[in-house]
Amino acid sequence: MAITQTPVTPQPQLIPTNLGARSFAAPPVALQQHIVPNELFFVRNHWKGTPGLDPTTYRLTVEGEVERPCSMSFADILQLPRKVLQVTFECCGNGPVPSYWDKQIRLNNVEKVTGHGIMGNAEWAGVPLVMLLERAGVKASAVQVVFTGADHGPDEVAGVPQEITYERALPLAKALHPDTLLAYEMNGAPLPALHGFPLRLLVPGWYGMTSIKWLVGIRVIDHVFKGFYQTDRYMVQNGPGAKEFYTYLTEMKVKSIITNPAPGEVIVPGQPYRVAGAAWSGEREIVRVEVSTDGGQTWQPTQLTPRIDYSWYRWEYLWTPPAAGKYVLMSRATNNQGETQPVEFPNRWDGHPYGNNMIFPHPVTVRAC
Amino acid sequence: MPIIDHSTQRRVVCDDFISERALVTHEHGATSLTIRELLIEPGGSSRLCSHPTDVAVLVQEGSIQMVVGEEVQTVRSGYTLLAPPHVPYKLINNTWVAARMLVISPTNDVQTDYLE
Repeated sequence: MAITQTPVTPQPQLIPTNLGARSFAAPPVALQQHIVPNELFFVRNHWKGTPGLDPTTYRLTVEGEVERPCSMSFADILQLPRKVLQVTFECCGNGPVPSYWDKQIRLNNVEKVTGHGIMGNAEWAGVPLVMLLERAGVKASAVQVVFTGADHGPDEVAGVPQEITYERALPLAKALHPDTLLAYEMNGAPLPALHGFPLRLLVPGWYGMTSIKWLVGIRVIDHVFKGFYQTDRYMVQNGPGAKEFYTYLTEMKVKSIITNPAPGEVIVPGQPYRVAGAAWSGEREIVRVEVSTDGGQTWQPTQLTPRIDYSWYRWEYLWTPPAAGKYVLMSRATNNQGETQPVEFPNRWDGHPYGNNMIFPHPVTVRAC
Repeated sequence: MPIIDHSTQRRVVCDDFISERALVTHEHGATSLTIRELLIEPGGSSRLCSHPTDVAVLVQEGSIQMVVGEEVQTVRSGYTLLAPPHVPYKLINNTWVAARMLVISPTNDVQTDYLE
């Protein structure tokens, strides 16, 4: 009977974040786990659907400023030495924008439903990119490496250009880093279609837009790449007097979030509760995460669990709420360069959510059950 | 012609996570229509229930997970969910932000069977 088959407590699902079903955020419960399962890992794509690459006919070309241009099949790539790394990354638009900037967001007709959910941590397996580049023989004239995805279409925001392929570049040093991967597995499974099957670039420590999905081309160039998604997207405006008008986002900034309690979770007064969360800072180390239970007036140290490879750090703090009421929790991470999260929303000049690593207020209700 | 000012409609708090207000009812002059605005905060869920009529749930803000019979689907604003007559359904907000919905029933006498 229908009544008995109705799942009263269904499993959480990805949260659709825009019209057109091309992007999805992880629900809060997904970020409470160190490894985010594939079915709850955020999806941020520029166009609906996937290119539908066939691994039996797939080719990856390596060309440009190389001694030996080549084209490799997926089977060829699987034969190369394999590397497994845990890597956390976030979309550079991850994180809620404070209400005093909501107007800007609404003007852009983008409704912010994602919370902190356009990020995740997974175990990735693949081939170090440097192996392919060494095989091809990078010339001394090389400056950057451009990566081409099989996804294309009109720009999702303006519709212009009418036809554009997703491409971005890395500086040569980052491309040659032994941990920059061409990944074909995610959490022990073949790369899911929405995450770039059969092969994607994976750039540890950098924002997600750099890790090109459905990778079909690698082009070594002798100049700085000026492609649309390199120069017209993923940057924030600097303030007056700055040397450059924009800052282009690359390595993830120092940041932390609270995952427990989840939004809406109620805590009981007088009983210990394990406040927990995650922290990361690109390739850098996190040395300290502090928690405030009084809206930032006082801070207490947390217990920090070391990261694995390039994963996020997990942290926790045992808190006993003294009485029923409304509290504002906050977390604040500091990296080994002494950089810490700003109190205020950092993008005051354009109101854009990119690279927002502010200290986020986390309201919680404490009451007796 | 009845004109209903939304701002004057009283919001009723159902529990710690759910509140609602009636926008169109027989009290406003409707003879075969009921529209309620439902707000579910993160962590909240409605009770599993069914009605003898179709029910349309128009998501206005945020996202919501809806169970209809055996199907489970999470949708966001810009989408409408339909629960057919006598099919149990439930709304669950396990997302990051509050969900605001319009619940529309083709009757001015909404009958609800709660199943939990």
